[in-house]
Amino acid sequence: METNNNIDRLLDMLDHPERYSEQEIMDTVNRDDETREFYRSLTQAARARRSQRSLSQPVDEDKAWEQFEQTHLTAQKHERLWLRVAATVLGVLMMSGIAWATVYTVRHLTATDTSKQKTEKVANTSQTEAEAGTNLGVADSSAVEDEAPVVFDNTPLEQMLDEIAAYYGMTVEFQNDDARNLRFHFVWNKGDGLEKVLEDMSHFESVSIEQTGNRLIVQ
Amino acid sequence: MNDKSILEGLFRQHYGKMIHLARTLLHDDAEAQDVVQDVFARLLENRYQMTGNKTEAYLMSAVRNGCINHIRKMQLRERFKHLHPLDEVNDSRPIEEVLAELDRINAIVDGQIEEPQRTIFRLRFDEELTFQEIATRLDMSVGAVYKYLRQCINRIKSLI
Repeated sequence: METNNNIDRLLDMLDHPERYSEQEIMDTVNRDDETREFYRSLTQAARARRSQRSLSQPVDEDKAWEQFEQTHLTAQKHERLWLRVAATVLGVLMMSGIAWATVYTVRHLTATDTSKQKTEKVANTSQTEAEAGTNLGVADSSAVEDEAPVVFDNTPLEQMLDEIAAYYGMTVEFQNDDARNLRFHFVWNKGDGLEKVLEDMSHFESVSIEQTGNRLIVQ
Repeated sequence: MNDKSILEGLFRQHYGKMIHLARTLLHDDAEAQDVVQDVFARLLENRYQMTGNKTEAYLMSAVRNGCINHIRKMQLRERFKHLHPLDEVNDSRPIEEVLAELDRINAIVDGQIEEPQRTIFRLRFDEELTFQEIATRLDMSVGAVYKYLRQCINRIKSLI
């Protein structure tokens, strides 16, 4: 009976994990062997159903390979990549209502007017973006010529900051671990000073990034 | 045949199984895709040092390890909320065996669990409703939902 009460408490915690401390969650799960085993069975049940859902979901190898190619195999394709970056930036600008932007003004605009682009914050919408034809998936700065903007598309914050920090000779410290995997859309103009980049990033929801000495601290 | 086409061949041949494993172990599709892409990125860095006929086993273990690392980085509350293992338990069983057990669980749920336990199980794990939402939908108390789910899980355990 006591174990059943403990399991019921565990089930209540699953509906409201934010109401309990980490210690309370661990204590409840590990209170006795039966509860621990019950939690393990829940883990298996969740995996079983995710597995079943996964099988009914289509697998698009072509799209996945294309994405991999763009991210990891584009070192010898500066020209093509630059065109894609330009097209994406143009797309973003047009979405922002600047329909008059033309290809030859893109380079100038990206250097002077990033405020239009930074409003395009996207979290976890890679699929929608892919459908809209804007999923570039470029996070590899070495693939882009030095002055060209780097487009982070639905990219985890940790990955994005590691790259930006390295460029400005900074280290990154996450005080908020949850922030590591938050995904954002961000256009980074390498010509901008760090201060400007941080200012642009200050519009990200749910995180704040501050510079202290040569460290970038994420809260 | 150059390096790129070898890699592309491997990618196209194994991607389906790899993404399935990652989707099973993680709850977020985008993260599952990242894990699989990372495996191939590492393969690229090491210039395809693959050993003969063990290719698939190597790639699948790499996906499993990538997922375990990913879960390890999550905060405890996040792991708990999505029903990931909380302890560093290394499941050393072969991956096919782990996946086969999940198939058995699905077969039991769909064929040998009675109502309303089965509906409750499906609403929780397929539709990912909260227990409170399930109680409202089925017009019963939350306590009753807990009881039926406990019965359902114990039954699965006894049949597996």
